[in-house]
Amino acid sequence: MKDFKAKLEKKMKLNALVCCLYPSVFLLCKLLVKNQNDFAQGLVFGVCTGAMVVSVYFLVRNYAALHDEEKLKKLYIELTDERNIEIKKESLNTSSTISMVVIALASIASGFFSAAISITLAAVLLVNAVITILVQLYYEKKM
Amino acid sequence: MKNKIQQLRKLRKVTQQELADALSVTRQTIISLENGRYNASLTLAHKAAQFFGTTIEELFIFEDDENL
Repeated sequence: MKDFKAKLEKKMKLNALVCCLYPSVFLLCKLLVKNQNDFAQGLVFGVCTGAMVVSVYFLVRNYAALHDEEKLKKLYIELTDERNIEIKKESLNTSSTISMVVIALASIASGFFSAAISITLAAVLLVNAVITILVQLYYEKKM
Repeated sequence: MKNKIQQLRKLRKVTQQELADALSVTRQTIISLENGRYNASLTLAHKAAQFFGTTIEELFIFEDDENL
């Protein structure tokens, strides 16, 4: 439980850092994309705000857990329960396979009306495959 | 894999939540274990065996065709 507490404290500091950096990162991004179109600016705003909202959520959750033994135990069980971990692993594995098949089909289908979309989707598929192979190699060496 | 968790738990008048708390898992994990929908890891099997004061072999019934 001590290790778990230390891990939570570390995560909380990281989340607090993201929250503190949000205004400056947001302003910097705004400056960098000020000559860009509305879509690009909106995208930057959306990504920054999303990251901050997620950080605030985890910050509040971890802070509450660190100051309440009951909540800490509940969170510990929730995050370390082996069935939950197994479910997460299995669902990630399955969703990754389904995503790759869907992207491959979409790439073929889009080829009939837009070459740019088809090539983009094929590139996404390729990057996904390369990442999967690299991650697999990493775990093969690790385990 | 079959197991005697439910049988031993009822014998000792322990609730699923109490067992879950003792093994640091969720109640849903205990339910899945008892229903045979989930196979425990070696660590959890060891913890469960210790809790009931028995051995892993006594608690979990390993069937030969499971390793095929």
